[in-house]
Amino acid sequence: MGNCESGYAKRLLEVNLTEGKIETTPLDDDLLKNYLGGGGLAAHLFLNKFSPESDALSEDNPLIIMTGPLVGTLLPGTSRFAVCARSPQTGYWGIGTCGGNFGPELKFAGYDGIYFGPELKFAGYDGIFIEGKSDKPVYLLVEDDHVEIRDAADLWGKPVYEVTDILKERHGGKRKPKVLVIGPGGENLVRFAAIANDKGHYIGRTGMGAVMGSKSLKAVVVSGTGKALPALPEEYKALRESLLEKIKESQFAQLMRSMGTAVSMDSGMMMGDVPIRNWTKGEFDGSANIGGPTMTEQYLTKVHACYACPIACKRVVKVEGGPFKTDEGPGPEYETCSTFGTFMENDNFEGIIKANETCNQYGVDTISCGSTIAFAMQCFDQGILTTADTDGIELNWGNIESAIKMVEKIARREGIGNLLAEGSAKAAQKIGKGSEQYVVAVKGLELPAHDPRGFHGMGLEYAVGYRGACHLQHMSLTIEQGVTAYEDAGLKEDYDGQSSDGKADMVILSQNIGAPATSACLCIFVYNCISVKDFADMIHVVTGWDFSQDDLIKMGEKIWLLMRGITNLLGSRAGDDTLPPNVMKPLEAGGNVGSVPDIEKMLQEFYELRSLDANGWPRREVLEKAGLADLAQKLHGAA
Amino acid sequence: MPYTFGTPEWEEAFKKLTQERIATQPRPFVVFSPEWIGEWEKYVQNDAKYKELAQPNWENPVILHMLKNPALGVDQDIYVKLDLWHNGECRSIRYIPNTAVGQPGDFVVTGTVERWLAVGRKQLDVTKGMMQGKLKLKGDLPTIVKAVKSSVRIVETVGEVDGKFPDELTPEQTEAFRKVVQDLTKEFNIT
Ligand code: SF4
Repeated sequence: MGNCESGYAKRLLEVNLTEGKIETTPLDDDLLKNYLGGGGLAAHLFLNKFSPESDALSEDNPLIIMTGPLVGTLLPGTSRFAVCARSPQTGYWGIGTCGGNFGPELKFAGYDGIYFGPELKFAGYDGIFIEGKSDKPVYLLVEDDHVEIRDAADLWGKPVYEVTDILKERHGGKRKPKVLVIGPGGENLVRFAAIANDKGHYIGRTGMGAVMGSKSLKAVVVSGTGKALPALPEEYKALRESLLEKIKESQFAQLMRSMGTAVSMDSGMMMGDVPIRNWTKGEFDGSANIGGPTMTEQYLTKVHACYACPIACKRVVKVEGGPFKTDEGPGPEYETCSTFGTFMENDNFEGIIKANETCNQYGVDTISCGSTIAFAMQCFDQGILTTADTDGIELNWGNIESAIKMVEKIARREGIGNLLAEGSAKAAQKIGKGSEQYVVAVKGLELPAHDPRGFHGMGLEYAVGYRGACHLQHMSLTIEQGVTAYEDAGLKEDYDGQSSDGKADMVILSQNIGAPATSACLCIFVYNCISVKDFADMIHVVTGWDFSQDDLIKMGEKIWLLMRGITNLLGSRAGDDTLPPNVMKPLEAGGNVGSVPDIEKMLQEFYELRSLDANGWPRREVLEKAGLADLAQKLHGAA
Repeated sequence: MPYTFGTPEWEEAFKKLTQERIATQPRPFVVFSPEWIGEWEKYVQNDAKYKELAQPNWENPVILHMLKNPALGVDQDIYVKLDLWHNGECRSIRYIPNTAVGQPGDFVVTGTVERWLAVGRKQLDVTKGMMQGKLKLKGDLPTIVKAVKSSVRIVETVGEVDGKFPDELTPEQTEAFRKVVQDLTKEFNIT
């Protein structure tokens, strides 16, 4: 045990599951200063260890859990952490991030102070690097300096909530440990399997749960008794106060606090942001039944926050009775309300709550899962799939009962579920018959619920994303929607969503602004309410380091290039930077009538500004200039 | 003696003043002047788009709040209340004193003069403006978000009624507008 001083424990826990080896290695200042932590640092470690030939589900694919300097402090929005590996869903760089903590004072239904990221820091580690594969189910137990690989035979096959409770009970005294768990989805290598952070938070995107499953690693349990101490305690206190005040004043924060992320449903419908019927329709009256107000008025039992966050966007809901009766538990996010709602033309909110719980229990990403089922619904609608293929399940639009059955089949890899567990892109390759045109994914990752016809910059962001279609590793979404501006950093206050002009510029700056913050594991919802300068101040008071706004933007460029370069090393080419057919057809009604992103033009501008070559790779000079000579050599060969 | 806000006398005198000014003032009227409010009231009352979007059981007043900007002749905050009712009915639009703002069920949309100008000139998308906090919302947020389409429509109408914005006035007109607001404050107790 030791305290984390000035932002870091400066130790990485390394675990080799094949050999049963456990060791700690030091992390030096230069490295931390270069990447801060999170995905950036994980990408650096990955670059030095991985082999492009290794399959994502092989023992050679390392799984990296990484925190950042702010994690463990009481600055707002700093409880997050990243989990990274080669993605089994895309084959490229995989990264998922997650917050945590419902706070000890907010105990309910077995939840008790959930904050995996801070806890890992309190145990004395900035991250965990997991290699190899166990020949039997195991879990990793970390109690400060005591680290052990334990047998998980009794846990294998069990759903997320139950395993979480068992492990908390087994290893908890007065203070419960923090737990990462995979469900049957991860065990069965569903390519979009998630990792659950206790019961309420999920590392959902890019299939990190399947990587954990491929290693026969059921859970990671962490308890720490150290503290995270800022370098400049007085400044830290003052900054915390001023940030809390600023966030409280923000309209965005007030809306999120009042209705959670699902608040985006109602305004999103007006702005042409919400995808309907697998992205083929522009209007859906039922959306009014499945947004933030409905959840708040009919199903909300509590509001919760991640560790040290004044926004408190987390919902706790309950369905009292009926076919979708659901115990009190984590409520659906906006993305889930869309993928299991508007994507399928379902307006039964209780069904969405049940689908959310089912995904949670099995441990699968609600975005990819809902989207893959919506893809199957369109195939069913078009006669490409019939009940003979679906084990008798009617996959018609709006049928949430069928969708929930399908989640179970996917997680268990039963019947057609085995096919859909591959994700929509891989499933379509097997189904054929023109089903490929109904896949709505980039690089194999299904699009989150933000329509590029309403926001062209998001289309570019999806197309060029290193992890596939992504809405979170950058700031493009909220910048283009006008929720935040960062005018000091060179962005405009207002962008016309349905124009492709000037979007390459906007996207690049949004990526560069977003990358250091996500690497520091700052929640981007909180980041929306503050400035880049505030973020620099956060780093300063915790680490003592001085970064200017420009330094951070430069660092963001380096991190983006690093992750993009890894995705290229793993086989991605310019042709993968594209948008799927369903989103390239104009809609006849709704908030984005007739609008289609000019993806060719935006890509051309983006390639030029980012200095990408015809392969879509960052050019050697650009990598070397950014301090990524290793990557340049790996990608372009020795000079 | 000023009229007491909320009494039939206030209402009658205000209506009379509005009608007189509609008949006598040169057009286009200054936005947020009594004559402009009279025109706006008629416009909203006849707006088919608002009627279509409004919720059948709506009973919440919407108050538009313009923050003061003395340089533009707005010496004090101005509050204008739209008394909205079932099925898209707009029963009236009136100035109200700040002491009458914040009743249960009220929705208040606050903006600087510049923001209201941007709305009027369609330079600020109202949905975005509300989400961004450029137009600040107060009230039960779930209720207003549920009615986002009709709320946005109401705010949009500000830009559809012919009018001159405070920054388009000559210095004399600015002074005249300042005086109108001062007189209103004295006579109708709207501060
Ligand atoms: S805004 Fe929401 S997700 Fe972000 S830290 Fe706060 S509670 Fe967690």
